[in-house]
Amino acid sequence: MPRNAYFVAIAFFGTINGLFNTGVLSFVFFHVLLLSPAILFGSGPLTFMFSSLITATATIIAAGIPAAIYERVRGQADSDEVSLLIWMAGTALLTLPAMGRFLTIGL
Amino acid sequence: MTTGTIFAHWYFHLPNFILAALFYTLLGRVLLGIVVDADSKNYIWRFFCRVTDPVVNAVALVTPRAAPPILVWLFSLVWLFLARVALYFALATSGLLPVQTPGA
Repeated sequence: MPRNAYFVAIAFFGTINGLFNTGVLSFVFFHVLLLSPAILFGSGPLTFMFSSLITATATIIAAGIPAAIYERVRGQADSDEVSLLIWMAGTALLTLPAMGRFLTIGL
Repeated sequence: MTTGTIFAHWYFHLPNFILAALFYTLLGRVLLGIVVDADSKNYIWRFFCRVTDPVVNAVALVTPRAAPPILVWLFSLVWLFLARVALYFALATSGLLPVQTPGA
């Protein structure tokens, strides 16, 4: 599979989690309002979109940790197909709680 | 944001301030990185890099090598924000968070 296909899949799963994982999203939204009230001029909709972006990115970085550990243990200078597969699988696993809602509602 | 006396609750305010300062400095680095070369001698750029490099290097350790530098900077921003959330959450659940007192 081409590298770009992995990146698209990772971004897709992250986006789904950022949009449909209401539990994590509401937790992050509450904390963005609390810790950075001025970052988006107090706008509720903008803050919600920012929270969604944070949730999606957090999904991707959390799933990237096992892949990064694998690369460091193997002493690789660049990501290979296995580490990208680990990254994608981790993102897919973290997105499972949001998948039901995504399949019900759709994009 | 609930606040107490800053000196009485330094264990919350000090780390929170440092994390917030790093967050906004890194945000500045990301925005400046769009118009400035990575090896630029601009003093603001060098200051941003010097302050945020330890965070970026730490995040790079737990990020797959396929991620380009600007993505590592953006990941660092999220890590810093999550660190603030973790600090707030840890102190809130242990009852050590400064409590806002109603005005007289």
